[in-house]
Amino acid sequence: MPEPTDVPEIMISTSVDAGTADAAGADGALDPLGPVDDQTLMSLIGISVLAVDGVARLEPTVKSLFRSGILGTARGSEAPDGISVTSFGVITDVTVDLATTARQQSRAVAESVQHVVREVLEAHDREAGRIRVNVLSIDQGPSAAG
Amino acid sequence: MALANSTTRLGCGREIDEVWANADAPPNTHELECPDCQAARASLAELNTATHELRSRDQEDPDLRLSAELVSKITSIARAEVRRGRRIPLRPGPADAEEADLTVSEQAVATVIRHTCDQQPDIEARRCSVEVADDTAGLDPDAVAIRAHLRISVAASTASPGRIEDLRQTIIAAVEDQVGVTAQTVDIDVEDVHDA
Repeated sequence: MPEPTDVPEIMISTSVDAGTADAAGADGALDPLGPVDDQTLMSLIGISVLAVDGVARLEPTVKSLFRSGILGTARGSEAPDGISVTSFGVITDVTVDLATTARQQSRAVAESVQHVVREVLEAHDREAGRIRVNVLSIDQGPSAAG
Repeated sequence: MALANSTTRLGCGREIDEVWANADAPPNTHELECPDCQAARASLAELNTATHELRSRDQEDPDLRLSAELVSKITSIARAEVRRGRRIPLRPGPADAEEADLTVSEQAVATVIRHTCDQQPDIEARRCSVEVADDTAGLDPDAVAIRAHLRISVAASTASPGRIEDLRQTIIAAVEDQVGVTAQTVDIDVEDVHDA
């Protein structure tokens, strides 16, 4: 069984596309540590998950749209699709729906994502509850068959 | 029933629910003469009017209406979810995939299998279905076992049992490498033969 893929630093923003970086805030700067609200937490998790090697993109689901507050999204909120956060006091459940690349093993990528999400939660004074990672598709690039 | 208590009973002894049940109809003989029931009917009529007003106001409020773009997005996502099929656990654990923390969609695994098949010369993948294997005896306890069923079309010149067995082994390796589950069984049906 391959080892989980490399785990990135929590606050990597350089590899995130412009749309996601905007989600981090108007000035692109997010507090790397300390308490944050759920909306900000979703953005931070989105940035960190996209930086994991083997993650192709986040995948929206109907459930994640509603969990993340579809009306909030309709009014211009920039929470990333494919991430949902539910907090019970300091305990936080997270669900990540994503696509992986065929270059990396989906299970190893999912385990790395789970690890990264746990680190983000701990960095922001949250207790990790249930962290679910669903690989909804596997992108077959030109080198996938190798 | 919780509503059947003293606070819902009118002075005449009737329950407010009885008045409500008849609110859309003309007053009955009792209600024509009873001041309590007449007051209750008037009050319920006001409530009904206010409810209708609130509802129509909400329907006209642009802030409460989803944009066409968002509706289209939801519809598109819902369709994609149907195509993705069931979820398969990536780690052994609860039998119910809904309870698993790490999952992969049936469609994602099927895509890996079909893509692997299509890499082979003169073999075309058709339909593919995947499910969690029931019998995992003798397999790695740390890996989830799946059963796949692939239908293919082969070129007439290459239709041999040896090619099919090679394909099966290639699929087993690809599923392990790209997904991280064990393809315990790969059933392959040659359902068509085509010209090369």
